[in-house]
Amino acid sequence: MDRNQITKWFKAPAKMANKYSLHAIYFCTGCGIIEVPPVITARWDAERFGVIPVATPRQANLFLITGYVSVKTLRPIIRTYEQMYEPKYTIGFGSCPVNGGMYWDSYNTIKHLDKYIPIDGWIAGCMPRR
Amino acid sequence: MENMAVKIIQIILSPVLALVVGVFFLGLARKIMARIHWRYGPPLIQPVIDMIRLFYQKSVSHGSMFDLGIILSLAGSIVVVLFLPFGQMCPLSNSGGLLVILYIMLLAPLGLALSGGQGANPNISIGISRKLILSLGYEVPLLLVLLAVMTRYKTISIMEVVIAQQSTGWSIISWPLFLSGLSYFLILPAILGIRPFDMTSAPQEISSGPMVEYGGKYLALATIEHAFVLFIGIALFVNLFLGGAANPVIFFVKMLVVFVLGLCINAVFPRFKIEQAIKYLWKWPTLLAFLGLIISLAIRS
Repeated sequence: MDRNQITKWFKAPAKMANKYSLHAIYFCTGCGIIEVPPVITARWDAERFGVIPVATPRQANLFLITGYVSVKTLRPIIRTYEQMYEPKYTIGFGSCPVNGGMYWDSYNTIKHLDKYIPIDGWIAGCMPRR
Repeated sequence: MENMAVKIIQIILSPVLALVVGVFFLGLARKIMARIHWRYGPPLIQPVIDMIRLFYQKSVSHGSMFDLGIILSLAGSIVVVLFLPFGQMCPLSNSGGLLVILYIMLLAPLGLALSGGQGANPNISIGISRKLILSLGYEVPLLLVLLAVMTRYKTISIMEVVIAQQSTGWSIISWPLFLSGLSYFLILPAILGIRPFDMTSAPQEISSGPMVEYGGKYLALATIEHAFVLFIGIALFVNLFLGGAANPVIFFVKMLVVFVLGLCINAVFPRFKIEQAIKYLWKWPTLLAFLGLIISLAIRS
C-alpha cells in the first residue's frame, strides 16, 4: 500500500474500503467469463487489490455481467441486482451488453443493458473476434 | 481490591487480544494460501479492510432471531475465550475448566443455526445440517481427548494442566497423552472448519452455506466469529498439549506454528463429502483418543 494513502484512509474510510474490497459476483451468460479465471488466479491475481469472487449476491458489491443478455436472462439479472446491498457497482463486460455486439440484429437479445439496470462501468471488446 | 481491578482489566483485554490474533490469522491464511497458489496475495490487513467496508454497507434483517442468533454465537465465543489461558493471562481460571468450555463451545454453532433458520434459504438448511453432523463427528473424539487429559492430570482446570506441564514437559511428547494429542491434531481442521472439512460453507456447491443470507454488518460479525473460532481451537490445543506458555509472546508463537501446519493441510487437500468426513472422524481420531483414554486410566489405577 502507498504511504501517502494513509491520510486518505483516515479522511474517508468508507470510500477507501469500498475501493480496496470488491467482492465480485458474475453472471456468466457468454464468452466473457473465460477472461475471469486468469484474473483471479496466478496470472493476474486480482486478490492483490482485494477483489475476490463470492458465491452469493448478499455478500457481493460488484456485479459483472459477462456476455450477451437475452430477454429471458434479464429477469434473473435484475433480481440478483436487487438482492445486493448498497453501495453496489455493476460492470458490463464485453461488447454485447454495451450495444449488442455481434448480436446487433438478434430479435431476442437486449442491446443496451443500461436501459434496464444502472451500469457503473463498461469493458468494451469482443473476445471471439480478436 | 487491586486484585479485582487487575481481573476486570484482564476480562476486557483478553477478548480484544483474541480478536486481534484471530483477525491476524485470517489475513495470514489468505496470504499464505496465495503464496502456495503462486500468487502475490492480498495485504495482511485485508480482513480489516473488508470489515470496514462491510460495516459501512447497508444490510437487511430477516427477523429478530436473525439478529439475535449471530450475537448469541459471538457472545458464546467471547465467553469461551475468557476461560482459556493466554500465556498466564486467564481471568476466569478459578471459575471453571474444561467441562464449562465443553458446554459453552456448543453455543457458537447453535447461534449460527438459529440465525440461519430465520433466513429461510434452502442452502442455509443444508449447511446447518452438515455443520451439526460434523460437530457430532468431532465432539466424540474431542470429549475422549479431554477426558484423557483430565484423567492424566487429575484436574478439570486448564491452568493446572499448564502448570503441571511446565514441570513434567509437554504432554504431546509424554507417553499416553501422545495418542490424545495426535487425535486432537487430526480433528483440528474439523473444529476450525477448514479444508478438508469445509463442506459446511462450501462456496461452489451450496453458495457458502450458513453465510448465504449474510451481507453487510452480519457478514462482518460472522467473520469476527470465525476469527474467534480459529483462536479457540488452536489455543485449546496449545494449552493442553504444547505446554501453554509463561508469557503471551511465546504462546502466540506456538499458536502460529500450529496454525501454519493447519494451513498447509488446508492448501493441499480437496473437500470431503459429509459421510466421508464422519467415516474418517469416527475411525482414526476416535480410535487414538479411546486408546489414549484407556491407557491413561490403566496407568492411573
